[in-house]
Amino acid sequence: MSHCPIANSIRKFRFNAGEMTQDELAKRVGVTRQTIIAIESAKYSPSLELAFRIARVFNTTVEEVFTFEDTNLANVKEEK
Amino acid sequence: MSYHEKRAIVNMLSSISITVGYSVYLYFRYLAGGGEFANDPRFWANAFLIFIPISIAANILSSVFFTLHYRITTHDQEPAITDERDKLIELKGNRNALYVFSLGVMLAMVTSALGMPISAMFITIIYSGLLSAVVDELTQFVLYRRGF
Repeated sequence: MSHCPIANSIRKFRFNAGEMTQDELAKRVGVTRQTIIAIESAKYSPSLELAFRIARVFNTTVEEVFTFEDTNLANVKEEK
Repeated sequence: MSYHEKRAIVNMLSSISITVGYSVYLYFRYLAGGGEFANDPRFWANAFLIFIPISIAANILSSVFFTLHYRITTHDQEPAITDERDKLIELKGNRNALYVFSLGVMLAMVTSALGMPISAMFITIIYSGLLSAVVDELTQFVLYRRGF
């Protein structure tokens, strides 16, 4: 399985939103609970639209919820 | 096991049983004809044309029975929405199935080019169709099982 370079803080945001359930978040953004589980465990990278929808539920920006962790890019920077 | 995983297994078993059942029926027709159908393109073309609606109808029936069985046993409805992950998983399954079926069609052409009986070509096409359906459902099952 290929490594998903997009990390996320959905669990933290759900906790801060009064321990919002995965099912509730799924319903609010229009996907299945399994998709939220897959995103949270970094097995699936959401589309840009879904990323924006999730960020909007938590009243924050996409960058706050999702971060790009490209190890190849980091190696290139270190070499420079 | 989720709804999609169960559905993939049911679809796979349904495809296998339909194709094997029809193969047995064809084999008995072949035996009844004293083996004279082996090189008759009309026999194989008819067999193929009959197989397509039969498999479609059987797949619809199995899908209906699965949905009813799922509702009765789990007291739950099947997922109401198909989201982007479902569509991607379906596309990956279809892609792998097309690879397998393309290889099967090429193999069928090879049997014809090698001068083998026309039955070999049609049997290869039918079984590559079955294999591609199995690969499709197996891909979906694995992707749903591990998350993506």
